[in-house]
Amino acid sequence: MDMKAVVARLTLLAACCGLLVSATDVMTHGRIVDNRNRFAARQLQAVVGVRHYQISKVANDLYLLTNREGNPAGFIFDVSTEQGYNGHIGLWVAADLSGKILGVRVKDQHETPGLGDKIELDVSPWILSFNGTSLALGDTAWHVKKDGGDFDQFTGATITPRAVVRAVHDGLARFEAHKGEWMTEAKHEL
Amino acid sequence: MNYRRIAADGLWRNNPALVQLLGLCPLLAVSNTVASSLGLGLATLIVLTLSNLTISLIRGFLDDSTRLPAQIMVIATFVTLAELLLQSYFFDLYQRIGLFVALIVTNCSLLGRAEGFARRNPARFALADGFMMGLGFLVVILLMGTIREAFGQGTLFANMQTIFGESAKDWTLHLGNHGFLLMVLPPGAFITLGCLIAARNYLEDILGSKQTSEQIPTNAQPADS
Repeated sequence: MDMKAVVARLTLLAACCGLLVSATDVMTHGRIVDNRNRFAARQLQAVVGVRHYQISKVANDLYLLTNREGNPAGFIFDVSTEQGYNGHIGLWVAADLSGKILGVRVKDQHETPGLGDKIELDVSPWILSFNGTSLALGDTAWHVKKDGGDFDQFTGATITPRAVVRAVHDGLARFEAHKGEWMTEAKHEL
Repeated sequence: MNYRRIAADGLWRNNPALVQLLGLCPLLAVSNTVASSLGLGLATLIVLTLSNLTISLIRGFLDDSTRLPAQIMVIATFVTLAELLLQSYFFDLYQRIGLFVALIVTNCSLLGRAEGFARRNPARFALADGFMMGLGFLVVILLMGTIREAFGQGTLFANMQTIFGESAKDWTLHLGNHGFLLMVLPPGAFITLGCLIAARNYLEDILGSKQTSEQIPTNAQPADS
């Protein structure tokens, strides 16, 4: 086979493969986007649990909660830390306007299965211990018990819960500092 | 060449995971539960069958100098298709094993079968070979998933809803033992695979001493993945 024929045949094959991939991409794209959005919405809904709030997007990783009467009731925002046992832990925190936590859920984590992954609600109810807490507990309380605070650590794993408690605390502090701005932004956006 | 021999090769004599030791990366990384093992095993089975068939069909179309890039292109195409279809129809499963689906491209058993079998055999045999090799891989990864989940987590069939839908949520069996963490962690994968290879070789020895009359040459490739 001469060089030209080889190139022509390889090109033809590449074109066929490309066509097949593009066609599948076009056919599945809508479904995939739907799936992603539905997944994100389900994650957000899970943060506030069974309480009925309307969740509307204000900015990237910032969502406004509106209660049944249509009044702003709080925010869901994104908190992350690099202090996990295996680095990054991403969390969603929902807080009402007084700064009280409505719920915390793990967004993404790479903690050790069986130890650090107890921060996942599927694995352990630990993450629910944040419900109803706020910065009003005082700085000393915002630690794991081993460090003299209010939050349980896990048997065999202190680093993960310590990182999560720290991250949620810092997230609340950020919320208190910026909630005025966020409200203005939300009114502007919606 | 006959189907019986192809089946025996894929499932036992030349099993991709236990004898050729190909595709270890996904085999070790994803085998921590039955559900993710099943998902990745099935995806590999489908991709391997289709890529083998396609490569056999185009075997007269390309010459030796371009067959490798062509084979890789065919494999990469099927893996991309599998990834897109998983994302659109099995999104929860994709969340769990998505990272490793892309790694099917690097699963050397695919290129190994393309080079070692599909490019010199008729399509029907290549199809059978791809299916049997894929099935051999699926059986081994499922075994590993079962052992590691049972000992490591003390459960079986947890998270099966990612494959079979909501009704599979209650399939989880609790075995009543506390998880032995090591088995879920990477070392557990190596230990389990080592035990499985040892068990297979032991059985092979027992069976082999009974029927030494016929020495069958295998077409095992060196493990390079």
